[in-house]
Amino acid sequence: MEKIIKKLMDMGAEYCDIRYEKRTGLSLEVKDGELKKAVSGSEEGIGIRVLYNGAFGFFSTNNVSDADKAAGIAFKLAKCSKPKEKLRLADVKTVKDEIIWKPKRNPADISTEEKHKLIAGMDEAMRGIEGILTVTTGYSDGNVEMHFLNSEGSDIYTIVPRIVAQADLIAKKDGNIVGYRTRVGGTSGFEIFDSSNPLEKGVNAAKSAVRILSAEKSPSGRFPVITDPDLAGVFAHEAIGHAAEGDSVVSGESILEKKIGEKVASELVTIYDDPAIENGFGSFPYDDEGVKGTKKILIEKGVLKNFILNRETAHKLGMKPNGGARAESFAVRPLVRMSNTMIEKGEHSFDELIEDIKYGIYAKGTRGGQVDPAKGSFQFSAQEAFLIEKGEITKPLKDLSLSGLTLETLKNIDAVGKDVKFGDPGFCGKGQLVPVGDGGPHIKIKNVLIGGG
Amino acid sequence: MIDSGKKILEMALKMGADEAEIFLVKNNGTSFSIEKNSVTFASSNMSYGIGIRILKNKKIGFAFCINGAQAEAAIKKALSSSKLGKETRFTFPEPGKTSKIENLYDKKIVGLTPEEGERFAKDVIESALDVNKNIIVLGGVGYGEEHLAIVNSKGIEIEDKGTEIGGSATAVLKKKNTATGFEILSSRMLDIDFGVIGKNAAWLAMKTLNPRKCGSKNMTVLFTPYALASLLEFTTIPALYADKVHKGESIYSNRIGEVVSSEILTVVEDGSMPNGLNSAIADDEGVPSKRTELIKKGVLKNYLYDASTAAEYDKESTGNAVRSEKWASSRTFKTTPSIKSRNFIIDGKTEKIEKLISGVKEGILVYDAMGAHTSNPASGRFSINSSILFKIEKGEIVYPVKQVMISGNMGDCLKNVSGIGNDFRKLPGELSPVSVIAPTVRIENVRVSG
Repeated sequence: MEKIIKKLMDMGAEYCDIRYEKRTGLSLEVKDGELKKAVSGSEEGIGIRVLYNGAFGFFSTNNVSDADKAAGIAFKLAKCSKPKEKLRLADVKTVKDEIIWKPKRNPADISTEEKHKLIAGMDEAMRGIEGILTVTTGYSDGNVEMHFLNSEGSDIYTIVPRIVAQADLIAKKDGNIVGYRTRVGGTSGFEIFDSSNPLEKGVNAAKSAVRILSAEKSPSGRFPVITDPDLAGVFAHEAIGHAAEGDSVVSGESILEKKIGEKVASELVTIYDDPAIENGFGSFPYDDEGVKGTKKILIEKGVLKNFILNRETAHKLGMKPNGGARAESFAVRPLVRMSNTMIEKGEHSFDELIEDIKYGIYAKGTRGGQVDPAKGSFQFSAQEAFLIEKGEITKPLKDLSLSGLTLETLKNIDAVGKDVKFGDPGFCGKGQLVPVGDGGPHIKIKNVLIGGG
Repeated sequence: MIDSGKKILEMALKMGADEAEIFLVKNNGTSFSIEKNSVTFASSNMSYGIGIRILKNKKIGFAFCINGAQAEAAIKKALSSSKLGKETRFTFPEPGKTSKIENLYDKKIVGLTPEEGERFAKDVIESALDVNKNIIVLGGVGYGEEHLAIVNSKGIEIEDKGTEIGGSATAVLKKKNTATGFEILSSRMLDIDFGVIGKNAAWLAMKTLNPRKCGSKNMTVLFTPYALASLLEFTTIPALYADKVHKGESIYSNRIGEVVSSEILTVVEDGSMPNGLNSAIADDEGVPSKRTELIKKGVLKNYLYDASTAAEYDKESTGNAVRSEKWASSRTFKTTPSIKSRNFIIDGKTEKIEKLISGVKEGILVYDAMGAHTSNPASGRFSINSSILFKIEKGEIVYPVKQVMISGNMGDCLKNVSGIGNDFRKLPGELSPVSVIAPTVRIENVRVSG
């Protein structure tokens, strides 16, 4: 690989890097007691990125013996795009490092039968709850071995494990149907299931789904809302994290553009993105440009402090790269992405948050969400919700979704809880799918647009 | 490619598989990214892989690898993983009669040079700037070729190749507020005018400047093909997948022969449609592609099947076995087939789009459906956010509208369809390989909160 880098530089490239990856893994799926899928395999490949005359070209292949040809194509592609603004990379330190994250209980040492038993057990326990129609459980583990080399002399070798157990269930009663999902996962091994029991989470999810079956339709309109840590995390990810991604800032698509140093949220709000959280689902040692993954405080006490940056956007914004470049695999180029996005804890207990709400919503978890970073609008669906009346949770609601404008909503946060938790691990899509984590405490928002029944 | 498939098939049978199926796929694609009115990134990818599915003692096993030399190890893995499964009634499909489908492969796409690709991306940008020089365009263009082969021990030997090209743009216009517009075009043939993409995106952004509030009430909603396709992808379409239907996980379970939509609506699935984005001579387990009526004049006629679900419930496969990862829109060798719609067509009693609008007392015309993927396909419930939309009053489009939330149940919505336009569009899926072919559809009495 060093030879290819040398060849590309001799051809006149300004910069180049090569990512070699080997991905091995197993995934299992059980539906209603039956093993539906058992997929194992491994893939290796390389992605080569070349900077020539201010433009990037990229080529990837899963035929590693094609590396020479690949370099030539990447160079040709770089030569052919001629951007108006020449692209430059912010300087970073040359790194030679080797980091291997070793799981305590390596999935490779555990039999497929035991992995199957784990999700089959979840399946059985969940289907034992009255009202549950079908359950689909899944297990997957994977190991990504990566070797990163660039023309500046960086040479980084990492191995990162990742593991997930999850359940999707459907509850049904009198023509009402409710779906619910729960997931446990991290950059670790089988030991994660000791601290976060997927069977217990699955059973709780099943009970929640059954409760939602007889829930009332959610009211629509504007109400005060308390979000649980899971939903607070999704809000941090969807509404703030995406707007803080350097590429959307640079391309003029972000509401946070040119707002560094400005107050963008209530002073109770501190939000950060941190790939160095131990075992976090979105954690990584180095990003896909060879920059160490470090904690970035995006908003501190209401003031916008930083963005998530790769080398290109850092240069354009005159800021320091902070390890925000991630690619789904060797096959695609790194983009500016989040890792684990969290809201910092505040001072209040849950009871203090709820006590002065006369009529409002307690929203928990999420089935997903979406944002328009340019307009600063967001939309997400709560997994579960309750009505709050006179400071007390009174009844369950169903099919509730929240939407609004990010900056308005950030200023409307009028109390933050002291109970920080990780939400369920997830996958963020932005053309490419990468594992992410998020979380936070309970937060109270003065008013949010609620839609539903 | 079919020969390497046959060799691996023989090897699998020799190593102890009772039956086997080898799926081989080779892709190469090139794309150009547009950021802030500039072509900033050129990228190309080549991939080859083999998916091996075996039956041993009536149990299924699967593994994948990326070259013939690894096939033996993959067969071993597939044989070993089969031990965990339960006995199944499934066997691999028998050979069927396939027929050629027009306009799925264009040599001109294969022969495109990077310079030509870059020119397409520039066409997108320049045509948007012609509309308004203050517009910021982002998006991209891409094209590629796919070559695949399927062989199985029942005698299926299929080889097929296809091409695809497409482009998309989002246009952002900042004045007092921010307006956005978008456009997307895809085809199997080199027949796309890339300038149209930029122009349409830019015009839509221009037209949505200075939006007004809409308020909250039930009203008539006209979903453009874009918004409708998003909603269908995450509600109606998965609700017609037979595996979900037979488990009772769908609003259409046990309802064949019943009226499930407005009688002016007809819904068809067609994997054999000429120039269809997911058309091929056969599906991903070798069953010939065909046309299947799902809803005819409001009456539910059929569900979508792959071979294993068909075997389980004594039905025929509709040729809807697709190999794709969850949340991904491309074909892969890395997973087993599952039921997916390929080309999902909304049809029926169509009328001119102007007539559709002129019949509306008060309503909205909706272009985007943000958050459609959070819908619940089991119940049909959805709640989307739209910020590219217009108010219709007394039969006329009067002004752009500020962000609203639209919610309801897609099952009920299809019953309340009161008009089907004639502005058909062919759109690629967002988070799955499903392509939707649909016009603007008018739906009565939909909840809108603004």
